[in-house]
Amino acid sequence: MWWKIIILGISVVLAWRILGFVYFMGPHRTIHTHWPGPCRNLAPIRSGAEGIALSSLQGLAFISSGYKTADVTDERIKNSLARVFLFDFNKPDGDAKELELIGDVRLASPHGISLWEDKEGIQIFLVDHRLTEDTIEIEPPLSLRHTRTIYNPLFANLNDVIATGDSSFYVTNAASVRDGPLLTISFLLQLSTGSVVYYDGVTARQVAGNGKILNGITSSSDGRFIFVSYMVDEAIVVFRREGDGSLMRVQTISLSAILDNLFYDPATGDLLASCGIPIGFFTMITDYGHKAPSNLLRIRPLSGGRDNPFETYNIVELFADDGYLLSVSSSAALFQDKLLLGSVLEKAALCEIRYAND
Amino acid sequence: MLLKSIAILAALFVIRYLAKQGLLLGFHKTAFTHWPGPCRSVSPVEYGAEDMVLTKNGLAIITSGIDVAYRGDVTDPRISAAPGKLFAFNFNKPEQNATELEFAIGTDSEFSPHGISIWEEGSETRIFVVNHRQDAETIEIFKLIGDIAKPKIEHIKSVQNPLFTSVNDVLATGPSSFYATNDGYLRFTAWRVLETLLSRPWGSVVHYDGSEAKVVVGSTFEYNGMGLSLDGQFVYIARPFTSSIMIYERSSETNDLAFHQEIAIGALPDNIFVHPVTGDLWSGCTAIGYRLLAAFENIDNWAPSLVVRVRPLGTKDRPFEQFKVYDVFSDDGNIMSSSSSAAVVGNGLLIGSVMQKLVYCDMKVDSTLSRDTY
Repeated sequence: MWWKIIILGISVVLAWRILGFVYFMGPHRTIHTHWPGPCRNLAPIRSGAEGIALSSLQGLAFISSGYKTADVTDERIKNSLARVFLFDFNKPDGDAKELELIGDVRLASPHGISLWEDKEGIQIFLVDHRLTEDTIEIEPPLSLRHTRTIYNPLFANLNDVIATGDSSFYVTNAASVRDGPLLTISFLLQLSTGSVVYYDGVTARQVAGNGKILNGITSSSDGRFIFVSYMVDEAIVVFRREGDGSLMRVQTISLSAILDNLFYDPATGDLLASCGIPIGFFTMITDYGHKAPSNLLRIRPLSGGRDNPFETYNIVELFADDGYLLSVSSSAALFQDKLLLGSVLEKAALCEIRYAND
Repeated sequence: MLLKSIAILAALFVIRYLAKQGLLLGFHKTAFTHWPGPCRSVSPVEYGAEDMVLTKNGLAIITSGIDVAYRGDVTDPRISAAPGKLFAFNFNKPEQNATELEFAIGTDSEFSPHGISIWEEGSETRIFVVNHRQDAETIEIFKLIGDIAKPKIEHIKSVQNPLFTSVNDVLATGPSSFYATNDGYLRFTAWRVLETLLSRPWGSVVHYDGSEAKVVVGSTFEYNGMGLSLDGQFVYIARPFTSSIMIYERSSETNDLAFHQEIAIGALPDNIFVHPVTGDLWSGCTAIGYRLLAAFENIDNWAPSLVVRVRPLGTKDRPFEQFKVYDVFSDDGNIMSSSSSAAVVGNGLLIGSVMQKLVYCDMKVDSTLSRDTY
């Protein structure tokens, strides 16, 4: 009798969790194309533009390309080249340029990317998924000269990185294990195993935990706030940085969309969130040609003090595509009236913004 | 044992029904605002711009003050209180207000307008308007006179027929002939609510040839707005409850309709505007069903608005074999509620709503134009 109740209880909880997973996959979501102006694909990017880091001082965008996971079955993705591209917004009609990598390092599966710019120049921070470990590379461009590889046991399943100094950064972990059946279970049951880790240049420590799948991470220009994508919760969590690097949760911005990476626009203080439909990604890793929709939301702070800039905000959908221009978008960067968009596994696009709501 | 099986089957049916209704009602959906350019509300339209037509020289004629009492449902009393009107908007002078058209329909001036259509032949322009009179569904036929700066309309006749059971929209096929969509059967009774809830296919599409009417499509469920392809070969009918547009092949001699294709457009379409140059279908839609229902209950609960553009990419015989849907205008609570109709001239987009405003947008963006794709 008791057994029956316990089993029933567990089945209900499991069923609820799996239903939540199906909902997260988003088979019911519809996205139709609408661009903010004329758009084109950016040659020669074909193997993804998962992350974009922008130097807004110089108008230079650094794009990580060649991301792949262990579950990828399509050869075109499995064998794609791991590279970093450069796009110069000052030459908006140009193509993206592959950056030469100098140093004794071979990239495997580049993921999140960030940069730190100071008088010395630009340093690129890149998440790379090597065969057995996740690492952060630091390299100054313009042909990337490799400086350091940082590995830490707290880098469990890295997603994105945001530089906060010439050798310090925050990273997001999508989960607490890298691969294998435990990861599958963690995703299926949407367990809260994601976290944010802070590396101060010497040591790393976890500063936020219990997130479902934490994805993109970025910061405000003054470095006071850190923004993190809580993918399954369909929200951006706003944290305030404390002196020692720890994070104080200030606000949750609900988007009602599944988001990947974030871009903070230094010109306006707006946040851009690249969104999509997860089932699209999982279909693409088995079929590179599959077109899955993408959209881009702009979250504009309307009022709020120094301690909570996003106390009130509005949301506008700046861009949406049915997948034929951009399939499974993951990242964006805005410079003047040009919008650079990246997809996880395939192409990049450049749009001109002719009109956007206030 | 048998009782248990029946109970489980019944439960499954109910769950399936609820899931279907839930998906249709769109509880899981979100609408995001994005305009194609600067938009403004057009005065003095306040209580709806449910449907509209466009003359060849860029004048839009719009029905306002729809009264959904014919559906027998309980709605915000302000909807019934709003007087039925016709407005005109001049695309050539888009900065101007809309002007109210004055007319008289015989001695009893009962005017509860819904769908509208237009017939232009030579120098004569006729306007057809669905009128939900208390005693019968009526198609009012008007003549449009005067010039575009000072348009006037004159009532010619009222057409009634027992086959007009619950008319939603009208589509002119000649100076006195037209198609009409019956969105259901029962009118002005609470039983109509049940008819809709149980998805009873008691509607139809009829054709009136000037003297007689005949059913050209029978047993339909909630057919709504209609449009005619540029070559007159296809009739497009909105079916919001399945988020699709039904396409029928038309015989120009007999006006019979044969089912051709159903296209899913990922939104609930109300009225259809066939672009006179491109032939694309523009439709004023509801983005999220349950929010439209909430707006009917209280017009202060704005329902998100959506205008889609459906571009045919198929062949001449099967134009919508492939197609692409663009979301041209979307708004959640910023400028308008419950969009239902659209008209386009050049970069100008006029959008009407069921119970609220008329909005004009100056489109700065056209997503159908792309630069070289890599």
